[in-house]
Amino acid sequence: MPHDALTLSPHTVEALFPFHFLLGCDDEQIVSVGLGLRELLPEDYSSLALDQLFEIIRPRNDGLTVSIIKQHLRCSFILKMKQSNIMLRGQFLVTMENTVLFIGSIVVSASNSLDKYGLSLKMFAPFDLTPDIVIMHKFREIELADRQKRSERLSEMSRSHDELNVHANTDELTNVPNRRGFWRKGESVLKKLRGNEPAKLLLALMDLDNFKLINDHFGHETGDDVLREFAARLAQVVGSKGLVGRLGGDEFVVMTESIDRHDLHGTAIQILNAVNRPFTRENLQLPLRASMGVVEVCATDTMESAIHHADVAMYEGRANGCGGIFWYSDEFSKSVQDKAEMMVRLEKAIESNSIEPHFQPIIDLATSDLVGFEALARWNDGERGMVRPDIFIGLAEELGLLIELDMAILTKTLDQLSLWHGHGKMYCVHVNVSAASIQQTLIERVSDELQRRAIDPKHLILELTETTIIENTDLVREVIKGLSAHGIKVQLDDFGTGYSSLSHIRDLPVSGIKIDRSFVGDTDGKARKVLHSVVNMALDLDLDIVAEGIEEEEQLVFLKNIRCKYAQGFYIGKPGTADVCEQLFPQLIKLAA
Amino acid sequence: MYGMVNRAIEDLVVSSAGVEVWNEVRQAADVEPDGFLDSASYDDDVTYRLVAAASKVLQQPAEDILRAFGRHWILYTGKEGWASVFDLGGDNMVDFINGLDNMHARVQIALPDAQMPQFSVVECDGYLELTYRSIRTGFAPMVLGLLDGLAEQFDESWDIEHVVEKTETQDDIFHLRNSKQTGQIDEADAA
Repeated sequence: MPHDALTLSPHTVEALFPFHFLLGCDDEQIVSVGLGLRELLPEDYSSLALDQLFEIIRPRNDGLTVSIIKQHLRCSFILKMKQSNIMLRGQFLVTMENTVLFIGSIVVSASNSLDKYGLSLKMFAPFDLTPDIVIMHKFREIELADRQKRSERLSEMSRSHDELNVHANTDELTNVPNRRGFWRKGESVLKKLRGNEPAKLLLALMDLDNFKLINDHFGHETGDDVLREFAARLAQVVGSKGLVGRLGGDEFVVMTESIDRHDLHGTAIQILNAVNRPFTRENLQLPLRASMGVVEVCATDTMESAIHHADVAMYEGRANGCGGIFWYSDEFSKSVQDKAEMMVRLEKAIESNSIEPHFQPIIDLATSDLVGFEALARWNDGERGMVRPDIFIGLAEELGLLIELDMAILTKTLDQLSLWHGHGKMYCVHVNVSAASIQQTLIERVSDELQRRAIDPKHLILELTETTIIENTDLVREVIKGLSAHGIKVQLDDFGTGYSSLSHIRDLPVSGIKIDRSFVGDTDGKARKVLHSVVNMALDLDLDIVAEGIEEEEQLVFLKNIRCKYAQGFYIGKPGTADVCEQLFPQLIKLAA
Repeated sequence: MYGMVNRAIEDLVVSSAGVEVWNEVRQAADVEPDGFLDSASYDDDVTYRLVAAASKVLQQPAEDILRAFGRHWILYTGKEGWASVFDLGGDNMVDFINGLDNMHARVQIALPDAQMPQFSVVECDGYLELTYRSIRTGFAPMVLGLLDGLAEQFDESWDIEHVVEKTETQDDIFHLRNSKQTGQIDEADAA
């Protein structure tokens, strides 16, 4: 027995190699076949010659004979079954019984079901991986199907996400980007700008000056139509080179590229012209007028800074009157910054009661007697010095602190008046009252301040401008009546500059009028006649009449000649602190004489 | 449990009661609407929740649901979805059951995370004794359904009885009696 010989019982061979066959060496007839192979061979296989059953594929040769088999015992064979085209792969072994044993397995495509050969698992040896290939292939198919499903799910999620994104970034009403959408797109435009310095970029922020009116008078539906048209016009004018967004309400923003700075200005004008055309619907034609804050965006700008600058320009532009284009510049920025700082300081000054009344003398023209003073608010802003009253009073109005300012000046003036009266100097004081202070509570408050100091109300004259009266005539009338009832006089200030309404003199219980400096300073004959007539009218109506702005002796003489009662102005005395006024009294009297 | 099992439950509910009922079951089981991936491994709890929810929504005992599911698994999921593999099991009930462990051993290579049950069959006097071993509990009714399905698939007639229920020390045992054989024997006896 050869040293490498192995003894296997037929039963073991059957169990281990279901695809075996045993071939007689002499007659080259098949002696026996395994369970698996038996399923594949024709029923009369034992009567058929070897080359009637198999065709040899490898090793390449002309025919399958025992002689050839013995020459290639170390080779793998591939045999093709002639009747079924099924392939077998395996090896031949020589047995001790003058036979050769083929042990192999069938070669199947992974996607084939073995069932089509009539084979089941029990026909395969445990170590035969053929069924595993079929199972693995099936599982691979399932994995691929799952991968496809995952991919479809991701696509669907991505699509949903995109749709959500569009929804979240678009204004539903106008179909242009909303604040979020504009911000995002704008950031990406800015990014490009940083890499393309020569390009000029304009950002314009605008809103409609009369949108509230349109909404209130024609309804929200019309208002919505206007906004849609507004957005469409902007989109049309900036075209594909620009970006339009609605930040909210009637506030829109545009970002667009230009070739140069000159072009930027042209673009801004185009935008404004486009939106300023009337809105027409059926029989309705509404004028549209927008205010636009514009900024030339720099590469260093962020969306936040660009929109902020445009906003500041628009806001400040509006403060100076609605409508038009307001450009943002560094100087402008500085002035805005300065203003913001000044507002902070003013607020502190009002809180700390450090705004002082200065007093400008008023004389009786007939007697030349000093009869009183007009109290004028003055603010010394520390190192920055005196701030012009028109500036800080305007800021106080923006801060909503006019009432506090009025009251601070009133109380300080009454304190001074009380001192003067204590020294036997029974002057009157004129105190300005702003529109904001015209409230029913003013009557009691002023009256209380007078009583607290035991000042006779007849020594206080409150001055109101005609503008104040126009804003709320009915309330002003009631307040003046209330003040008069407490013996406090009210005069019309700046008479002759505004409405100069005679009805105000007729209807309101005012004690007098103060003629504006512009009338006094006009030496034209016609102006003088008007001034004369006004004085005569006041005398006829038994109204006190004060002429302000006297800067020359000639003016003083003229007023005295036309029997104007009182006068004030630089010629008589500049406003000053109470101390300064006291020192000037002798000179004043001499001057008036 | 692999997703294919959960998806088969979905398939059973949809085919027998409709999509709307499946959505009710899914929501009651707190399962996302995305659907299951056959090749993904899910926590067993998902399967338990689905069976409990289906029982509640369809107002049928969980055992009935599981039995119906076992039958469905063989007749539809196995036969249609896994036909190429299913066919390896053989062409009759006894061969198929005898080859199940062999089959699962090979499937385990493709699904390494699968916790597949084991089935062993002993031929007794006039019946087969099938022992079912699983790390899971509560799935014996599903085995009844699987056997129902196999009998139907191979057009055989078997009386199946769950004779021993699983305990800590004992596996589930089923007895299978071939009804036709029994019938023939009866006829012979009668003759």
